[in-house]
Amino acid sequence: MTIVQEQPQITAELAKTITTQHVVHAYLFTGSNQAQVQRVGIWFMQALFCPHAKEGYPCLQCNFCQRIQNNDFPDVLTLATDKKSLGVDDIREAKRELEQTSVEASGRILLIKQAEKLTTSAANSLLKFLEDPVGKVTALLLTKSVIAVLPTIQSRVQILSLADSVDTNLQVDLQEKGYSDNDLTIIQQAHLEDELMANIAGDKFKQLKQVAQTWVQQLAHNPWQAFIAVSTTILPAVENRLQQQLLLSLMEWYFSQQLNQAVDDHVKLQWAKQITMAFLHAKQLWTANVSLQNSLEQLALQATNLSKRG
Amino acid sequence: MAYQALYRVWRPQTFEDVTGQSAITQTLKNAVATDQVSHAYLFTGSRGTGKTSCAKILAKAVNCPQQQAGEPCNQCAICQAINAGSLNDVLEIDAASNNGVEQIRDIRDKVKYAPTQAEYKVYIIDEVHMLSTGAFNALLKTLEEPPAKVIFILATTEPQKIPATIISRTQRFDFRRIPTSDLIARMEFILKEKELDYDVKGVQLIAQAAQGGMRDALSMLDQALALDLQKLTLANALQVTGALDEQQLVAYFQAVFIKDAAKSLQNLHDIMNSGRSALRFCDSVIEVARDLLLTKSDPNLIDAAQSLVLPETLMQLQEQVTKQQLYTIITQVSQTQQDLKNADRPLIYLEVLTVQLVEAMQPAPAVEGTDTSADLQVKELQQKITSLQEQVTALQNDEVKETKPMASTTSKKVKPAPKNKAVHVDQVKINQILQQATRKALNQVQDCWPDLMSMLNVTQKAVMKVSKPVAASADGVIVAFDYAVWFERVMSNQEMMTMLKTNLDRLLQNDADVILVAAEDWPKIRQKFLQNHEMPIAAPDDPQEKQATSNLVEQAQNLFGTDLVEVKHD
Ligand SMILES: [Zn+2]
Ligand SMILES: [Zn+2]
Repeated sequence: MTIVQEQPQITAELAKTITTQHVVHAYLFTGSNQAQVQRVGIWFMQALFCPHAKEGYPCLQCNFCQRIQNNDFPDVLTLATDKKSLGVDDIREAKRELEQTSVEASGRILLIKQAEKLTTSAANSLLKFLEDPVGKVTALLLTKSVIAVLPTIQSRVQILSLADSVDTNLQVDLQEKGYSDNDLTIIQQAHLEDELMANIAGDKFKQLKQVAQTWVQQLAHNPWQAFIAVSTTILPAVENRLQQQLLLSLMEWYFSQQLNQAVDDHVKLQWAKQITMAFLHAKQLWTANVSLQNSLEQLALQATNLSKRG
Repeated sequence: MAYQALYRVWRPQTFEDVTGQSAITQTLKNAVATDQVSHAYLFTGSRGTGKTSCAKILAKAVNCPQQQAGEPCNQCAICQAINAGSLNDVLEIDAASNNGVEQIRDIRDKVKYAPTQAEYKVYIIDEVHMLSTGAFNALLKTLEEPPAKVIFILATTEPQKIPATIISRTQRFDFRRIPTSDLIARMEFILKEKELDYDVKGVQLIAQAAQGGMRDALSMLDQALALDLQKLTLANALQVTGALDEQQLVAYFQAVFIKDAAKSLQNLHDIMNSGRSALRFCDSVIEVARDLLLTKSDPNLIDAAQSLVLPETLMQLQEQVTKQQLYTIITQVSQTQQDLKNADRPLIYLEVLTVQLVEAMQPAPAVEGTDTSADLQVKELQQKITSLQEQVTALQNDEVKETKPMASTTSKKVKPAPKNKAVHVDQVKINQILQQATRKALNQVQDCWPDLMSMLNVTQKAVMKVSKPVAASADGVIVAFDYAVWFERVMSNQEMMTMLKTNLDRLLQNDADVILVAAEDWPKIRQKFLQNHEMPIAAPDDPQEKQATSNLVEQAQNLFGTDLVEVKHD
């Protein structure tokens, strides 16, 4: 499926702004699936530059469209990083670069991937630029979390949210890697698309899924065992931080399931709520660089206290 | 790509044009008209409230040769040059990009020279909170000995980051959030000027979603108009703001109020599946709860808070809740909003929140003592707990058998003792240790603690992980456990206690006893010892007494900030 089929509303909206010449100078696209957000971003840039565009929709065939697709277009300046953050120096460099006039097209685009990574100073140094860009520059920010972007940036950009939809490209890709239909359903419902960009094999996913599910159950029935399982079962199963991330996301999914299934039983619901809150706290500790072992063991300890107090 | 965003096109050009800041603009106008302009201003306030616009208007007004009653003419060469950003005497500096001491020193050097074309040199420093400490110091020097005919206008969204020494040298203006009614008026004005049709409800929706920011409002208006060039429709306003529609909100609140967790969660999922953002959801819930709270207290306060009157269907809900419950709702949603900032996936936070809100609707047991259903619930709860505890104990015993037989005392553990400590703490022995305790002894124990841990098996290690030595003498070591549960487990495990003592004594080469305490009891135990030995100790802080204030407006202001709750005195 093409991105237009997957995201009909947002692409139609963008096409319309192009045909009515209402394209503003700064956009922020957001959605839970980063790969999809990126594809919409590429599509929009193609729509802006494609000389054969029809009613705002790019042809996707011409030289312009192809080069934008392949990230090989001189008038698109991309800011992205594998590091934890995008700093003020990256922005400064980009601005300097953009001060040169456009090479081929009628304007230039500053594409910022994972805008949530912008540091406060970097974001602040973007503000003036977003309000009064030098020359004909359109800024396009992509992010999975609008809340994580500085409020003063939010008010200077038009924010467009992608609807939740199936990412068919990813699905085909995953099926080839040995993911079952059931796995695909979980991935879609739990929004695990981003975690899977790290190329996790189907077998590994199944293993982590099993570990996560078992542990969440253990926590409910025997927190003591869950505590021990952190060092005996969980740690041997995860090889790196990305897998830890996926494991925690899978756990989150099972905690959410547990909560939703407990609605008819007041006592169970109370417990499910408390353990979920404790889990979310543990996950934040992990994000703040507390080790996986410590975060989960502490959670298991809290679980024993919860079951004691009732 | 030539389209100019509305908020750029409709930037106010005179003080009169500025929306929602009449007190500030009046003061500035008077200052210009009476020639009493300060040499440094600090404009603070949240995003899109008009700080930079006012700075530019002020720069024009002080320099415009045709200035009238403090307003610039916007026609003369000076005004136009300032509008175009081409007048050398008016400098806009982006502190976020130029935050170094060098840039500010540069200003300091050049500030000495008289203005070339205009009467005043005006430096507008935006996002001034981003300056480095060195740059602030350099700026302070300039502000301390201001040259004639120079005006500094510092603007920031974060005044708390500005050094007090700087603030004290400026005249400060706090730009408030623009009232919803003013946002509506401005948008309607623009729509009429553009000769566009509009749905009044759509304008209201955008104004509410903008939360006091003009730039936000016009940005959303722009977006909605791109969808339909002729008319602002309610549907497009809904889509652009991502606001919840009335029916969704009513359904959600109704389910929460009748304490139906299943239905509440179902409604939450429906709302989120319709593409609403978690943030908007929280905003909407707070707005409704706030308006219900105000209506319940005094319907006139709704006007004071400048909120739109709630739709009839929502108003009717007020009968079903108490004020206290509404306070709880607002507090919990605000907490969730904080948590959402670090969330990868917001939904689970909203699910937890929803369960919390349903719980908040449960009557407090103390008040509703006669309620038999509540009694039943408590009974049911107690039964569950007991059965759960039995399960846990049974499983724990299994676990113990699997790994290593721990101790004969495990059978004692079947008796659940949640409140009163089953294990006796030997205060006499503790006092003996504390009397002889030294820092050095403790350091020794701490040094060999990792070695001790390495002698344990996986299970023991797991248990001891949450413990740490807190005091030591030659005769004994006190070990505190983070969780009382584990402390009890280990205390009643003779084998483990022996193992700990033997290995520790071997490492320390003495005959010290090992005494365990729960970390939460440790301060008390220590205090008891100190009291017995008449040592001076600091009195514990008195728990701050929460003063119940009867003044409703004050309460509302505390909750929502003074921006939103404004009582008109005129
Ligand atoms: Zn093309
Ligand atoms: Zn003039």
